[in-house]
Amino acid sequence: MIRLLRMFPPGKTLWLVGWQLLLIWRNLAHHRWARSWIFLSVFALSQYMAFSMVKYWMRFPNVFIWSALAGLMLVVAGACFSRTIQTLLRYLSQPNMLKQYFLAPLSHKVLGRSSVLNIALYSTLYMGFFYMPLAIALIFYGQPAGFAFFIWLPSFALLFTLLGLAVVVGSFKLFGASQARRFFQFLGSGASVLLLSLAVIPVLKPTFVQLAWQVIEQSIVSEGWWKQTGWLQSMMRLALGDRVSLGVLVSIVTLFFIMTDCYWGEQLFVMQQQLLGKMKSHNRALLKRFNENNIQVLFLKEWRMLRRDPRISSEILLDAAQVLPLILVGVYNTKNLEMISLLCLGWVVLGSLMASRLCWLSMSVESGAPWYTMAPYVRWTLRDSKWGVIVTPFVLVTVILALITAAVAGLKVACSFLGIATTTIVLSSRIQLWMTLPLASVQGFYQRLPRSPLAEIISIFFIYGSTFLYVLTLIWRVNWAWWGVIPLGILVGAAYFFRISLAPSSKS
Amino acid sequence: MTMESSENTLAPCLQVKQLKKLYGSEVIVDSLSFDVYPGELFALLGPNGAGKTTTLKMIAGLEHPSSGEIWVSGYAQHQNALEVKKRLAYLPDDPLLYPKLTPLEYLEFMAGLWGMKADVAWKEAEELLRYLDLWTMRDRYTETLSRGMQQKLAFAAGLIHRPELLMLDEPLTGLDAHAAHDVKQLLAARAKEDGMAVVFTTHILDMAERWADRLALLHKGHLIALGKFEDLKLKRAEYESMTLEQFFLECTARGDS
Repeated sequence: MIRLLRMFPPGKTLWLVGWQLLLIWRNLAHHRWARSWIFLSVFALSQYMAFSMVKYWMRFPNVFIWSALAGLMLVVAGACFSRTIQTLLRYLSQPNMLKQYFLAPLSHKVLGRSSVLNIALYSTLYMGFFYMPLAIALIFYGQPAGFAFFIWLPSFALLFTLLGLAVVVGSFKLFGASQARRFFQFLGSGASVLLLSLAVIPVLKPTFVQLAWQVIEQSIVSEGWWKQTGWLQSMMRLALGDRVSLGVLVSIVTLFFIMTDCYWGEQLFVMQQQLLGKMKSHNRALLKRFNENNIQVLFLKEWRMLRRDPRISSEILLDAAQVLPLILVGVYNTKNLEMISLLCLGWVVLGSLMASRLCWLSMSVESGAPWYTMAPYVRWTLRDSKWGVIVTPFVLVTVILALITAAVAGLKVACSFLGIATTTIVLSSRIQLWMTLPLASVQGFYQRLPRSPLAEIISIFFIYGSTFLYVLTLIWRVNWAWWGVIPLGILVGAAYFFRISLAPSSKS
Repeated sequence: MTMESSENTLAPCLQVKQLKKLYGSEVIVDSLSFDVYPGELFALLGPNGAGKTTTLKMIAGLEHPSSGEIWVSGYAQHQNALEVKKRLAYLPDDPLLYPKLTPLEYLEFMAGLWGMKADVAWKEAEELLRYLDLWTMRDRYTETLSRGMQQKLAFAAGLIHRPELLMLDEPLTGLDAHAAHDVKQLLAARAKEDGMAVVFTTHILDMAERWADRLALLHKGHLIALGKFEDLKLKRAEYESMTLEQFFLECTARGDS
């Protein structure tokens, strides 16, 4: 930790603390208030580590990509601008505005539903949410182009997600439901296998990943390729079917499509799973008898829900999405042994984050929760049992990762992070103990899906914040030409979304 | 206006004594007392906000009473909650289903929660699903079932452990005429054969009039009428020719007993 603090002097850390506080506030609007503080403290730790790590590796200058993507962000910002004005006007024109809209989320009163616009807004927020810290670090540490790597990938993810949505809708329209279902069954299986491989390979075959990463680095990230070919040329190589370019791009996009942009991915997952569910409903192996062991029955229910509900899996992957790319980039992109040792600790944090998220979901995603309260057990017995069953494998994984860390970075570091990981798991899991309400009312996960007005406004603030930081950096780092592009981008985006929002069918 | 049953010689299955529930300073249920006997179909009626659902939730253990006592089959909820929980089931108006489980898996889970033997539970589940016309749907995710089917599955889940007291909040919501008939038949049969008591809330007053053995009418948290409808009608001359709906409107308009 001392080392981390040295990397991040207190003056600049204050900015990050402020950022984390804003994150907490944003999450207050989204989640039930009590849970968020603990969960986000863990998030803050991971972010803090991420900033510290990023500082070390980002040394691949490519101003052009950075600028192009910042331009893209401007268009989105324009869209959000119009949305903000509309939203604010709507709220401000209401009587009892403060009570009704700003305090409403704290009393769990949520308005509105996820419309396409809101999904777009959320996704944009999500990107800003992740990449704003990087932009801050960028401003502070002055290595702009290196961060293009981090912005390039999610931007592609966004584009490909849009493409994916278009494919889903289009294929249904063009080929009919049955053919489309087959296609998505195939796609879903492929994506699942890929995801699984990506999750397992780094642990089992680090050498393979190292090699793969070298390919990525040589192909995309390293200076050489970009200097030789440039952005447009590389796109042409891709279009012409350059095997390496295509493979690398597809892998990265798929990875990020699945892992980073969970909300969008979730929409497709849900769609796909629903289709699969309907398809398989006639083929699924029937239960021939009930299981005798009650613990087994309870565990089976958890396992079935986890396996079948994409909302749960995508929420768990959210943490992986935050930490995993940073770890992978670092591990295979630095020869600094101290850095590698720190990155190993990232695995420990990752394990604990995923465990805590799984516990939280498993205990709060309970549409049938009153059964637990009514069942003939001492209150908390069931919940504690669930917690134990769920957290045990993750604790084991964390311990194993800590042992690996100890081998690389020394016992002292491993122990300190094992402590952090364990505390994370325990606090995140036991948070419900502090909620005196019965489980019946704990449905924060589902409550998060409909947007609250306050959350919407804060989201917009974040989108603006991140966008303007990108823009500032851009102006600072690039050249005067963007002074013309910036307002143009905003105008185009605003005009587009005003047109949509004025259309009768676009009510959200 | 209370007309407690004088015919029933059995020990009450449910006793509610001076039950009170406050949310902050707001009184939701006030000094509510009534008994329900084995095999009885008991309707809890009242306008919106009368405290019906809160009362059911308190009996089910989902809400803590501010004061008062609840006894189920001789066990006090505040002293022996586990024994009380073993004997009851509560079905809210929204079916409590896990969308990604099949009906059979869901019933397996429910039976597991109540610690049933697997073979007994399987037999019960099959019987219930067949009776409720859900057997052919047993391998589908519950999210793909219609609202009425989901409601019927929730009934099955509530009945699988053969509770002594079943509480239903708006039980016929979403059910078509056939399904409603099946459910009522099933509950009546369980009440007759097993002596299961059923406490239900409803806004369908015709159904309450025809189906309930006795009723309690709540208004703003207060009990304003209790007993058999036929007996209640005898309390005042102007009530004699009234339907339950007219009686309900009259009593709640007066707002007192």
